[in-house]
Amino acid sequence: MSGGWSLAFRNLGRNRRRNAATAFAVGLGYAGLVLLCGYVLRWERVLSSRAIYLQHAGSVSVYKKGGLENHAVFPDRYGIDPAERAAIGRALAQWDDVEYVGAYLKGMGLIGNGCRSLPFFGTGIDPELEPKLRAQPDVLRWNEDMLHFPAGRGVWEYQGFHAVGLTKGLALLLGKKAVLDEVKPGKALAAAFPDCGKPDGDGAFAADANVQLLASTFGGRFNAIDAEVTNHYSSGMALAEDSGLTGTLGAFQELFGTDKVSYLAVYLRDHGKAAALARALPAMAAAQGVEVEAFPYTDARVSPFYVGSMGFLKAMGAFFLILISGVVTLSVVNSLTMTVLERGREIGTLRALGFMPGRIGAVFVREQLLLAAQSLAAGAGLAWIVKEVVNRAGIRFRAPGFPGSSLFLLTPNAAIYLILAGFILTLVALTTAIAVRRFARRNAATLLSSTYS
Amino acid sequence: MRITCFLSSTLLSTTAAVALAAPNIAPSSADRAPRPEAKAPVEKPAAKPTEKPAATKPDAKELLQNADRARSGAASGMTWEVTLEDHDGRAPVSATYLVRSLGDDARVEVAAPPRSKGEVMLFNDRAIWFHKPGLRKPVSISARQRLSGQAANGDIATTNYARDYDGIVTGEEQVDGVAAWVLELKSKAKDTTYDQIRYWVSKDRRLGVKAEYLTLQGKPMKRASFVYGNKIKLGSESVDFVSKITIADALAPDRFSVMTYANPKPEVHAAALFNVTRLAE
Repeated sequence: MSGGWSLAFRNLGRNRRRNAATAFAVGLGYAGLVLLCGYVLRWERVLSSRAIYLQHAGSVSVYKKGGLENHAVFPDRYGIDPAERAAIGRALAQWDDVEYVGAYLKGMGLIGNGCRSLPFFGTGIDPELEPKLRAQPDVLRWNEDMLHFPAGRGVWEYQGFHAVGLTKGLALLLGKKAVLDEVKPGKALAAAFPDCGKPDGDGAFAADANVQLLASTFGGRFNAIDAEVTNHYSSGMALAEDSGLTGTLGAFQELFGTDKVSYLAVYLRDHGKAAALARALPAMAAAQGVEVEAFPYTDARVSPFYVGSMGFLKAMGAFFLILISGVVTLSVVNSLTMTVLERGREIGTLRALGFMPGRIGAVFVREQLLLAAQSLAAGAGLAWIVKEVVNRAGIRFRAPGFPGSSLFLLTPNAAIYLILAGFILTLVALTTAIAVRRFARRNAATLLSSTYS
Repeated sequence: MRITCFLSSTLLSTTAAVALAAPNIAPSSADRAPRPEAKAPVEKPAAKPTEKPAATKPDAKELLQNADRARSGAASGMTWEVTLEDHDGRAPVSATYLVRSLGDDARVEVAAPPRSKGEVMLFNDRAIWFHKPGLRKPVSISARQRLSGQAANGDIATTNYARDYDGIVTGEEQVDGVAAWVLELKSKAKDTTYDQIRYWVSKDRRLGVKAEYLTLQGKPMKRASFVYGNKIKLGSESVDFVSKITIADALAPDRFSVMTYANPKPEVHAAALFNVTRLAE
């Protein structure tokens, strides 16, 4: 260790109690920030992977120009037909990072159990692509609880009829407590039409998994299809739990009388390039003869829940960062003020010997940096211990906007530790330099005659 | 709003209009081409003016009952055809329906186009059921689910104003040269689609000539105009009956539907025809 650092290290032992208090404040603040960032990071991973893969926004969502706002009202005009899909595919072939391209048809209608009908918001998904999306590493790591159906299996596992999945709330409202795999084989209804005078249809609703979907086709006519409920699932959003429905793209296209889709979702290997693709794609598609607009998953228009939730979490994180930074700063300033007052004569001696205020300040900066480094090490250890305890405790809580309960987990990574450490060290260094500089500039004689120490 | 605005106007409007049409009506006289802004045509001064002096406000309920009769026909059973044309800024889409009614019930079957043949909509009082060949069970459509982008016409044509609304006469206006009473109707039933309706009833023939279907804030959501080119015989009485209804979206006047009524005749139907449990058989 060089002479300056060696001196600084020895000086740490001169005011142990005060230094310990400062170290405690810095270390605890650092641990708190690490854990908070770990909490925010966890939810960012959960929400982003959920938005991209499970809610089918993709890294980039591609609509016909004007389609995002209008496809629900004018589905035929703003739907993407097969020729346009092929053209967009040719445009995407020029982009290296594309892993998958999925086609989705969104629509709304009525779902009936023979007696009553309820509105649904549904998505027709690609049955071949869906299992691949659910096997993505990010999904497996951050949304494992969303992968398991409370009942039944995915619609992509069935063929020969229209399989649909219902959100748990919708299934309960319809009385469809059993999914197809749970219906006792051979148990036929006594009559095709349930007793609508009884709340449960005299047991008919739960006796089978059969439902009817009714909607207005793209051509403006009524159409309906039979379907079987093959799973219950959670949408991930409390608002959608009473109306969500998922089916295959083929079923939806039959229901809505079309071969078009609402949008394409482009899944990139590196989601960090989503914004760049979203900017470039319209021109690339125009060269292929299709007018499109593209939105990265970070756009509130395609991922409002993700963007809104992250906005809140980031605001909360920023607030605590400012708060803790203030506490650290004030702790350092307070401790340092006492220290320089006590060591006024020492500073005066150094000034008399020809040390410039800058070099004197550097002495104190080294001391505070060493103190902070030790605090950060302790704080990192504390953060790690708390993280392990919390994560093993399996604490569940109800997050606003989320159906059911969520696991409380803290997942800080190495980058968080390092970045926050660098931030704290920088803050300490600047605070020390500013606090000492003014004092060190005083006249040497004044400093030497200081009576504080 | 988006949840409820999905139902096909064609079927509903047709069904509604059909359910209200009367039987045994002579073919209607030539009708005007549909206009983007649904406006009621000029009333033919065929019927002799009735009784009350214009200055005296009539009883709103009586006006509504008379006007309803001109859209509902005989309760003992009727059959007629309805041709529906949907205009939404592109090529019009047309469909033809065969309608049979009995009292407040109506059964509407698609006659054309061929791809939709066999589809049935059943009106049981205020409930609507939809069924098509191959479905295991019919699908119910409640009143509040009937708001549609381009013609929840089922409601507009089917609505029994005297039964479902309380009305007051609030003034007088001219509608295409025809003097009419203006009525403000407020829903008195929980399951009506529209909470408020502004209704113009002609003074001389006591027929509904124009209607605006309002939001809770009182803004028009849809506008309808009615033409009564047909006549039906109810007993010994010859009664005016609807021949055309034009329904337009108040916010997008270029989107409208036209329902034309033809070949009505009285016909007794079995009650089983209107039984929803028989639809899936």
